[in-house]
Amino acid sequence: MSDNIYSIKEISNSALMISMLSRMELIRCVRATLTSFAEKFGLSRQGICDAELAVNEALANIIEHAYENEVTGLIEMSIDWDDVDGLIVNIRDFGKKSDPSCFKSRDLDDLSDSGLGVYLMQNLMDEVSFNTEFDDGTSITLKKKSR
Amino acid sequence: MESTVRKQNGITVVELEGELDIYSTTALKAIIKDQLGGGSKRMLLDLKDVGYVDSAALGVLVGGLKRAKEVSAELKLSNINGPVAKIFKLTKLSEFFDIYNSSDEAIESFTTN
Repeated sequence: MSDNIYSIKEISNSALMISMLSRMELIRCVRATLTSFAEKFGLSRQGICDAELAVNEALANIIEHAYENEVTGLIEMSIDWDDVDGLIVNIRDFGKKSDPSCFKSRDLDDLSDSGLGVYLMQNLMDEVSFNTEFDDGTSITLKKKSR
Repeated sequence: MESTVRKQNGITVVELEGELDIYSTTALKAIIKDQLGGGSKRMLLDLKDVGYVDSAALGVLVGGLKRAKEVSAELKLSNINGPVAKIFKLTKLSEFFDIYNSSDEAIESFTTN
């Protein structure tokens, strides 16, 4: 990983691992990888759009908050397909620990120019969970069922 | 993201194309700031060819709407379709913005006000 800013490893026919640095421009690469992976398993167009945006938001939050826009932070992702749960994306960072209170959606009646990321993740995916029980960083798991 | 700025009936029409994501927010912010700063009092952002919008770009649009109000300008949106429309509805931003089905409809709304 030391020389790579973005790498993909195929773990099995239905699982990928991505290692990347915390650079905003790499989010587009992840979206492209996620789309072609989910298309292979027949996730609907809308389902893919939803997952693409939710993952976009999760990565943007990590880069902005966990790594405070520092471009050398490590992000590790797994993308899996499961016949029951559908698409499962796990994103792990090793940056600044997130405050669990930040995982709440904000009030949409308040016209604010920030803070929609968590709301979008929670409303676009079937399941979103955060794990902060690490010495450093956070893990986010997002699930989108195939329908 | 690509953009084209034109004037029609005294209205600044900004046609946006491509993806409005965190990577394009700097350019989007600059377009809105420059037009409002340059004295545009009626501004339309046409999203006909925009197929993707994330929360960072939504934040820039909200910032633009707030800035427009501060300088007594009007900022409207048109042609929000497909997945982008879903996001506007989901975030309730469709309730804060004046959104029209077409740029012609939006331009007419400015002139009839």
